[in-house]
Amino acid sequence: MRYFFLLLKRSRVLLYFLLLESIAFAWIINKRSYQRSQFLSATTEIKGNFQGLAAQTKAYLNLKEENEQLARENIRLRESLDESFIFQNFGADTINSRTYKQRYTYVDAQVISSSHFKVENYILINKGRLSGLEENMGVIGPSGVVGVISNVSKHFARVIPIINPNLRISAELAQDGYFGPLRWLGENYRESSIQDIPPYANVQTGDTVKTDGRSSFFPRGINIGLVKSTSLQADQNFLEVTVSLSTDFAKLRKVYVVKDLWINELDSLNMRP
Amino acid sequence: MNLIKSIFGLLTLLFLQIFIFNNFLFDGYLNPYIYIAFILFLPPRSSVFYTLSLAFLIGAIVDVFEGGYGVHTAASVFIAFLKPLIFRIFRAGNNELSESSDIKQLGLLRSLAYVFTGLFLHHFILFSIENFALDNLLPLLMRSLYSSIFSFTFVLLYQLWNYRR
Repeated sequence: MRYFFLLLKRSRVLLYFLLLESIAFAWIINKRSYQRSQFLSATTEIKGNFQGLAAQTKAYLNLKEENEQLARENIRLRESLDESFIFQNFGADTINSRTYKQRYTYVDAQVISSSHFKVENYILINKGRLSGLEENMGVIGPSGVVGVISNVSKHFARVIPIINPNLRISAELAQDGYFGPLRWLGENYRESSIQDIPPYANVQTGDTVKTDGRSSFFPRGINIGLVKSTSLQADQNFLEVTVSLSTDFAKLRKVYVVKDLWINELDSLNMRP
Repeated sequence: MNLIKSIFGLLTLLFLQIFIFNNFLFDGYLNPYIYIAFILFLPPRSSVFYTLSLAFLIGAIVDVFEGGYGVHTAASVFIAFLKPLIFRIFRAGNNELSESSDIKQLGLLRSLAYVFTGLFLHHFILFSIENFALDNLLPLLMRSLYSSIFSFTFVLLYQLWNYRR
């Protein structure tokens, strides 16, 4: 017993070191917790206030490029308006008026800080709970999908982008209609990959990849990227498709948050056993 | 007085780290982490318990603000543990210096090498824990090297500014 205490006393520095390290590693491993998300929304608020200033300056310097991007987006949206379509109704005796109801609305926001070289990347945007944002709302940019909101504070929100391994969304190959989970492998912020595509799917390089209606975050048909290459998965049964992402996270400034007006009704169905 | 001065120094370092260096340099590829300089510049004779606890606290503060989930805490506690060893390596061959000498007594070249080694090790440990794997070791090493060169430059500037006051 005496020797034991002697040993303890001699190695007390090492033990203290190991104790502190194990606390730190417990923190690393135990990432998801309610307390953390509460805490994050508080620090998000503090950080956002400081970084908003810097982001304003940056936004001013990038006005030209941003304008061009928005103009291109406007063209695309104008093309999808009713007035861009010809109405042809041959010999029908009833005229269909609009039977659509609005499902999605959008809130525009600016990126005030973001990372894309880390493994766990995050984006901070300048709208929060006061603008009606909530957790688990999808975020899209002018050229495609960006991510999903993970934390909201009063004036700011934190977004998990698709270049974070913790986020998985459902992606669809526009040509074939096959779908699978889009998961980032943590290396290149311009690429991601889709798993579990059946081997008989005819996937061509350059096919478009879009969101499908299955993930509840985004409307159907938002751009994700283009197919870059395909390979057999390690299990030899399914294809893994490498996608070059259409959103360039290195120069993302303007984003839109997707609000699903029917989410409560949809959720109430999902909750049923 | 000395205590107030060092608390002020610590707060300055943390402020610079959290609000400036974490955001503006090359979109995060080269991220200088200068806060570890505070641990490295602690007098070598200070107790290891004190150094470890301080490193834990500083790392935790940076983690909370950066969303690092303990990555910085783990890395800075590690450096605080290694610090006496690194110091001993650079003291070697200079018998006039005892265990309790100040870093400044190492001489310019040796103390620069000491600081750079500390920074490089910190960056390397940090990036490895962040990756949670040691595959693609070469990019990891290069990123640590470049980032620590950046941090080194800023730490030197900070020290110069400190010295003048």
